[in-house]
Amino acid sequence: MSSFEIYQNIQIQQKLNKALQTQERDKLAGSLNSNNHTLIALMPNEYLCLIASIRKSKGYTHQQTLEWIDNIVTSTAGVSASTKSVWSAFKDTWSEYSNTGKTIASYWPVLTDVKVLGVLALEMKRGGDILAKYKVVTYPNRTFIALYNEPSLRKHLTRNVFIASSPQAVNMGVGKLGALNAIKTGAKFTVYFSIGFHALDQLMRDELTWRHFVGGVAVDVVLAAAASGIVWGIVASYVGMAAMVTIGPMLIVVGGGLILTMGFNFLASEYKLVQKMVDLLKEAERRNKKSITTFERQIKKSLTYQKEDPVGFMHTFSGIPYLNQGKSSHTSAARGR
Amino acid sequence: MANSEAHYLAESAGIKPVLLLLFNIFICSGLIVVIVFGVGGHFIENYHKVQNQASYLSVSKWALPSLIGVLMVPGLLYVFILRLCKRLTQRRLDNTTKYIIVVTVTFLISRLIYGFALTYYLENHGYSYCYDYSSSSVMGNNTWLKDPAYCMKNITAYRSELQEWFDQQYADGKVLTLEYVQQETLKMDAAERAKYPGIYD
Repeated sequence: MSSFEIYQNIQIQQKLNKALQTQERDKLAGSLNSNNHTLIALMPNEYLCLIASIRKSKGYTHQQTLEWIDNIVTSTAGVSASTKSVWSAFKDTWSEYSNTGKTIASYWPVLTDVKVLGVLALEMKRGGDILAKYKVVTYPNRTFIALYNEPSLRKHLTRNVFIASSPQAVNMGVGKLGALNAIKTGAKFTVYFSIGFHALDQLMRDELTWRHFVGGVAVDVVLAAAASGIVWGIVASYVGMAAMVTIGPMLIVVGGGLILTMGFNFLASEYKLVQKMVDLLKEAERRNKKSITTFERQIKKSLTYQKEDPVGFMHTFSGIPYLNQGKSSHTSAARGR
Repeated sequence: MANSEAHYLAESAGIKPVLLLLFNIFICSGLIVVIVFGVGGHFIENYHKVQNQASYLSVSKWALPSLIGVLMVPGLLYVFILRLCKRLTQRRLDNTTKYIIVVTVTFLISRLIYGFALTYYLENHGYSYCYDYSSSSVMGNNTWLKDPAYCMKNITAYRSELQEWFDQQYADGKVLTLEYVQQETLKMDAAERAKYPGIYD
């Protein structure tokens, strides 16, 4: 063996060793890779949120995701009781919030009035008598409210005579203007809460459409407006020009407003006003869709007719009689198409 | 009159205050009828349903408190009628106002207590709240079911029909099963989709 051959053999041996080493290294890397796992510790509610977001990114709705998980959790035998309870709590969260939210929403406008009433009652109590009276005194061009109580002991209403429209008297709910201010605030709160509550409900229930939102808010707003108007009429008639217990008008606003709203709500529920409103909107949409389809069909028909018989089309378009008999038959055939 | 308090109060002149009084008398009378017969009737009906273990209840947390609160309305009516007849005295007005104050305060307190008591009472009788059947209106009724499995999803479109069906089943004395409720829900769903094609696509 020549020295060149020996050198070649050594070179081959070295390359072979190198290839074997690379192969072993690749094999080792592959083996390491196949055993590589990323562990992420998640709380049960975080895990559910992760699943929900993955399903959402795949185009599933909130309701479909809930049903899918519900099906897996309830039908799989291996699912532990604790997982089932976590899922049940997660699923019921909105239901509970909706019930509480509705209670708060129905009571909030009342609470704002009750707060004003409470401050006024406290003020009257400080003055010496919770049932202290006020009287409206009218001079030409100006109406005053005179409080029959000790002003020096009071915190906010520190005088005995106020202009009826003064911010102090109005904000404290004294007199007719004070009652009117409370009615306006209550009505505004009802509308804001109704919109907020229906919007949230809309997000949470997949089957609800814009018709339910519009119908629900419209009925709530109409009822609030009607109740506010009537309560104002009742307060105006009840108070009149006589001396009145200072907290009287505010109490009538609170109590009368609630009873009226309850009565209206009962009638709305009995006559299914929201459902009727939603049905009317659906019917209107159905009719619109039908009209649009008919309109599109007529346009297509007219375009075909215009291509086949331009003169006849222009006659029909301008309403001029088309006397060409030969064309006329063609025209009627085209029209009939 | 000898007693100064017996003097009748001066009333605003003109036809407008008289018309407003007449309107208020009409509204107050109507309100008494609606609350006493309507809300009160529902309240008694629901009580019987609970006693008979009905599978479906539509209840309001305002029912019993409003029966207390409606007691203020005769007070208002009394003042309106006296004003209309120009027979209102300061003493009568003060006494009626005090009566209205007592009723309204009781009404507000009773609402707070009744809200919690109702939930506790229904849960104790084995009922569970069903969000999907409950009204979305701010002061709307809440639905409680004997079996939570009857609380079907995606039924808002035909919720009132389903509620009527539940009431009818109770009136007919039929015993409900889950399959029966599911079947009816599917039937109503199909009817709704057939009635408004294209709306739910």
